[in-house]
Amino acid sequence: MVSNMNASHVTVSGLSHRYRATPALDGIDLDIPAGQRLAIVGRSGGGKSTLLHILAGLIRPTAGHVQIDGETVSGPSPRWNVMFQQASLYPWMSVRQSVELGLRFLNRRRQGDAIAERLLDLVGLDGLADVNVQKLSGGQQQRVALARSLATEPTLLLLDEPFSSLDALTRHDLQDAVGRIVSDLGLTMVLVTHDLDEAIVLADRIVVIGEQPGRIVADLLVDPTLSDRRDTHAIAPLRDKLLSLFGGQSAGGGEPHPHPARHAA
Amino acid sequence: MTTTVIPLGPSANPDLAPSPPRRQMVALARGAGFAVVGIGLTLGLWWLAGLWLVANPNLVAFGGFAPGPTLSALWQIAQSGWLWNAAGASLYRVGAGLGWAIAVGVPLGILIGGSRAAAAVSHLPFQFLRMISPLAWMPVAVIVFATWNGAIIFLIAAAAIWPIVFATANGLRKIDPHWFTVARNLGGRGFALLRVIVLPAIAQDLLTGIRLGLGVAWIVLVPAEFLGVTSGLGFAINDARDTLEYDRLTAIVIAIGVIGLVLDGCLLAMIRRYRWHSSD
Repeated sequence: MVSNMNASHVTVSGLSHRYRATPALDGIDLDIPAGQRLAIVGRSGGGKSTLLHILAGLIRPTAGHVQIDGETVSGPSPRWNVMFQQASLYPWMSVRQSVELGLRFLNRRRQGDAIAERLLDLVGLDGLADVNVQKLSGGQQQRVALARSLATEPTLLLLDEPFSSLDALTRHDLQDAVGRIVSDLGLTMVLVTHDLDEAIVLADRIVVIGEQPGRIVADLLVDPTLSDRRDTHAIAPLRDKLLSLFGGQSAGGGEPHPHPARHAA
Repeated sequence: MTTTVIPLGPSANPDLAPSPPRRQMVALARGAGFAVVGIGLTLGLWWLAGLWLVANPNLVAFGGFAPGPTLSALWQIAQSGWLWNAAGASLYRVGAGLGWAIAVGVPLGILIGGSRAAAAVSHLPFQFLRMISPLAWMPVAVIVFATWNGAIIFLIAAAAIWPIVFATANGLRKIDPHWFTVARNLGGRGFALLRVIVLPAIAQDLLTGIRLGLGVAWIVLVPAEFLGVTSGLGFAINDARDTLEYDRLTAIVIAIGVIGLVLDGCLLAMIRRYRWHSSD
């Protein structure tokens, strides 16, 4: 079904955004080639999620624009879907109904059952199609949200800190699942996270956003020859580099200090 | 080193396991037991009151209020079909009034629940109107509507509309704003958003409002049917009083209570069917 989809090419030009008097983003230029897995990292409140929501067409930027495959983004579209921090499933729905929701909005309900079956298999929830979503654990709910995001066959998957509310083991499993699915389906992925390890595990490229207002302060490519991205020794140099961009002292997953320096690799 | 395999199926989550049927049976039996005791006590008090009426020379003419004559009259009017004709006329009026209340009340509730400005503007006028007894509109309704039926349906609608408006608005205010973001992200717009997200989200509040509205409407029905009409349960009560048939009068009162209870039970079943709060 979704394995033959083409990835999207994303261009962000001169993007700025203000919340009333408060500048959130300033002069963001970004080019994301089709099929790339990009992570946007930065401190909380730095404008990462705002940027992602603008990419999704959920927020209109104050200045600049976003183009996906040459089309200027003016609103949400089934071609690019967001997976949010909270699964935000509708509690009266079953797992199957949740996955089919986007198709229902697109009047493609007839295809719903077949697509839902395959996606639930893909995210490891086969056998739970008719269970009410309230009966699921947090990790299972996020898997449903992932399947729901994939049901409309998007070419661009936008992830807004989707693992941050999960426990460590569930987060680990779901990160692996998302990485595998994005690769298998050949999607372009934009992940917003404040977890550097997560960015390194999942992304080919990491963009660091400085704060107030949010600007790109570094743009790094992750070494594709890194054999095991969960090997703390192997990723230590990249992790230290990212931390140094923030002037960070801690290597224990704490938030880096806000002294961003422009850097490109 | 030991390896633990965590299953990713229904058995992974203990909440997915079916609840023990024995516990459900015990709860059901307890509920039924309490209901039987309650009905028994009420019948007992009624029977005692009937004995007292018959024993009192000044009140013996009202002996028809006692359980025996009442239940006999109830059987008679049910068997002859007379009760069903009267109930049918009343149910039609309540249905029509409630239908109007829903048709006007739900959109109004969605408007004031979804817009702070609309809520602020409507607050005082709606609270003012809510405090006016629907029966106070009776003379106005008689003047405005060409038929008695129209006037009665208006009074019932005027009684039922406020619980529906406020429950709908309350339900809408409780919706997680993120649900709208997610739905918009998936392509939900306009009527589809209303049908697929908003209505199921507020279903429990909306049905609770309709249940309250029905309760008020059923109460208003009897005095409203004292107006000009020659059908319905309200008219039947008035008629029985005028002809001094107290057994028939009490039988109709019992019928009103039973029908009201059945209607309320139907709505309660619908609320249970459409509720989704996990704590319920």
